[in-house]
Amino acid sequence: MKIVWVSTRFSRLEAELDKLPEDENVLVVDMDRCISCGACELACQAEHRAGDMPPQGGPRIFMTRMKDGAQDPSTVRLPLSCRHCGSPCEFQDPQNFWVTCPSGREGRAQTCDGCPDRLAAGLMPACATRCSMKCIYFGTARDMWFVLSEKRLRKMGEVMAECVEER
Amino acid sequence: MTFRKRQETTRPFDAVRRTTCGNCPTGCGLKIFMKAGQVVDILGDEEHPGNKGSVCPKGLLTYWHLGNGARLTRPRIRERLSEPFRSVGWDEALDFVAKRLQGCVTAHGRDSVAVYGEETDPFDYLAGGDLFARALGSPLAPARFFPGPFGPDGAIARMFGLPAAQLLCNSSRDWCNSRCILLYGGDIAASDPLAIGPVMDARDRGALVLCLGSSDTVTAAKATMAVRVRPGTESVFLRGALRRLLAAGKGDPEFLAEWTEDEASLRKTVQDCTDDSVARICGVAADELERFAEILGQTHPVSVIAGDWFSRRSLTDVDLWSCAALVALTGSLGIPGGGLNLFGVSPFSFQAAGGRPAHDLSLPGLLAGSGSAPAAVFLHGDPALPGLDAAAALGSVELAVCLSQYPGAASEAAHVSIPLSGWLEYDGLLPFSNGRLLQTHRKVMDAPGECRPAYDFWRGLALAMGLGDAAAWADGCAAFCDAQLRANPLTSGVGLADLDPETNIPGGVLWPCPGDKAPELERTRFINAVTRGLNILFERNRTFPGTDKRFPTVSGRVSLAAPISAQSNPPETQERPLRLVVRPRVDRVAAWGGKVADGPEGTMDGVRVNPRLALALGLRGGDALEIEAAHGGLRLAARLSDDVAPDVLWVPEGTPGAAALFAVPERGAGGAPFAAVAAHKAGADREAARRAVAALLARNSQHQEARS
Repeated sequence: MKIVWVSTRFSRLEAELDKLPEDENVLVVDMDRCISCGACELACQAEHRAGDMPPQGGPRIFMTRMKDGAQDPSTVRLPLSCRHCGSPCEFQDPQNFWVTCPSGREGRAQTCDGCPDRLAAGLMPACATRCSMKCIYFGTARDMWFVLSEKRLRKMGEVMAECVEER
Repeated sequence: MTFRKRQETTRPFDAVRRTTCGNCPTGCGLKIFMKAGQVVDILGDEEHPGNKGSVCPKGLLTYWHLGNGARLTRPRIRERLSEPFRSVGWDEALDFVAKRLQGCVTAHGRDSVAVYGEETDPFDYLAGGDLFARALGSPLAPARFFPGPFGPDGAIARMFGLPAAQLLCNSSRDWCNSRCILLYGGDIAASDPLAIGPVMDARDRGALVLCLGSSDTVTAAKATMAVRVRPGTESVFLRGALRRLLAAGKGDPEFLAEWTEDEASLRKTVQDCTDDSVARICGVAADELERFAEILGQTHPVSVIAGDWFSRRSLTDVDLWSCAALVALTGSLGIPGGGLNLFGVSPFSFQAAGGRPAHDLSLPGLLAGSGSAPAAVFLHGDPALPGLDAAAALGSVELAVCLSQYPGAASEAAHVSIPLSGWLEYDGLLPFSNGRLLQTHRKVMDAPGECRPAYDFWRGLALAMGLGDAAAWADGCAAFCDAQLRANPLTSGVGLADLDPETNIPGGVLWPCPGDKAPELERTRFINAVTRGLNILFERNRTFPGTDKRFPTVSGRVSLAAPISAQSNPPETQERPLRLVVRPRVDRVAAWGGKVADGPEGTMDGVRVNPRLALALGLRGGDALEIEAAHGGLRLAARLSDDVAPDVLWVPEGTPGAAALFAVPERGAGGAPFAAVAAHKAGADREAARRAVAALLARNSQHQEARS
């Protein structure tokens, strides 16, 4: 499973989908809608550690804060979920947006398991199901390509509008 | 394989109940999955028009809220504050309160009993408390403590004939038709996450989203253009934009001529807000105002969302008037995609109790004032009391009764603590909405211990004191809410049963829904309604319910006359040049299991300081910062963040001692949006710090001028 963040503010991202096998499962986060509310974190806890009281110390998807200095000074917060170990932030590369763990560390219990119960029932994982802004999608790379088509069209429209303005 | 985004649980269940989330005024539909009477999972209701299946972290936390061991489950009483509480039965607690209250009334009169309420308190607490205050003969009913600008004496009531507490012109389902949405003050992405969904939908359809506020927020990051001004100067910036629009001949002259009056007052009020003065007062570059006004002038219709669930408390008459003037100037009233939309509106204003004006008092003002302080106070939850320390303030009254679900600063400083049921544990009404919706919450499970609805407390207390017979007090919260709906002229067409999401269309009813006809689904070119009732207020060729005019003012037109306070600009103080602001950590969920859902910094205590200010003060992250206000001081650890401007200090709501630095509000629950403070590093020279800050702010304004 791969995780991909998309935004009309990013210059290159969607091409990454091209590199995947068509039936590879992909979690796509639309950063243009994400308000970093943290519902994905709690959804993960509700799915995996519902019995814990109070609810803390359990999510496998995290809101991670960073500054997107190249774009504007506003805050960018990413729902990050490492597929390899429990400390995704150490290895995330803001220019790459792919979470990769070079060492494949051991002894980490908090890795994402992809909600196998939900997938077996034909449902999206908990974070995608409960995202408050409906900005997390899950499916095969082929399906995600279609999900993103509207966003690509909008981007194309903006580029064309700019061309018209310049002319 | 394709996966479905269905709001379904994978745990075994035998029943699904539908109800409405009662955590905040957004009012999202919920599906409660039950097995053998126990809740096994909570998900959003896809058929609800407000949240369409989504739930924010507050709603998700409900799952942990059930069966939380921290909840209060038994009434607790004590004779004196120096004694520990002792747990008693419900009847004994009611008798205790009745006896002590009778003593207060005998010794100090009926005027000495205050029933305090905030607009976001549960409906049955407010309506029951209002009824109780009337039955007792006390003039200090909950509605008198609501924020002043939202009341019948506020600027909006003079403009529209309808108080701001009732004004949400276009329901959230209509926002997607807007071409420009101005988010004024506040951070709705943090406080009302599901309410920003329709705004993002509008943006995805090409609307321009403007954000005007005093800090870099998540909401600002989502906007097309975000302007960060000094705290408390938002209205100056907006008036500057209005001046530019008027000077450029923008706006809708036909609407102005036909449906408004006192346009001269608008022109006169905004003429002082020149580009130079706006840049100086707000601390922005002049080209920002130019671009802002240009966007407003090019787009139509414009809708304005002022404040969020929290910051609405610190909105002033001038803020609301400026926003309404913009909407009227652009002719964006009564049409799809327009309107002045205020959050947490309600058809219930509880006014005219004993003929006294509503929204005219503040509890901190009463408690801090000399001589007229109330002898007995009833509170709900853990209210913020600007200018006061809750424990010290309540220590001065003879009887403090706190109704709450969890222990808090107020309940632990009270003589009596009453445990309340949560909104999943009884049938009740949710009239405070971000979408002008009337909805119900249903009982899906039993309350723990001896928890009961607030209405049961008021009824029990009234009967124990002999205030009216049992017939005057409806038996049970549901019957009481039903009677309240029928008695309100704006909602008399519906009863509680009409709002039940299990037997009706989810999403309740949009009010006004007067009794002359049953609310219907609205179908127009713009709105394919999935809720019953009227989406857009003040449409042409339609009269406002209860009147024969489009706008319910005396003249039938919107008055643009500016409030007197619009003439004065915020004072600038040399002694205390910095501004301390308090913003919420998403939700006051300390009581909800300790989880705060605002990312890493949400849990971060201390004060946020701009790195440039920190450099001037010689501060490093984690150093202690001494903050001095007019009447008090505070020492907090500094956290460096460029989310705040160099002249702003930001502390999370609930920081101990922070409330006491603010001025005690004169009326309403609201306080000032900021406190003027000075600051220096602990142990450093105060005078040197003052000079360094002055030099920094001077450099800052030169920088702004250079940019413009």
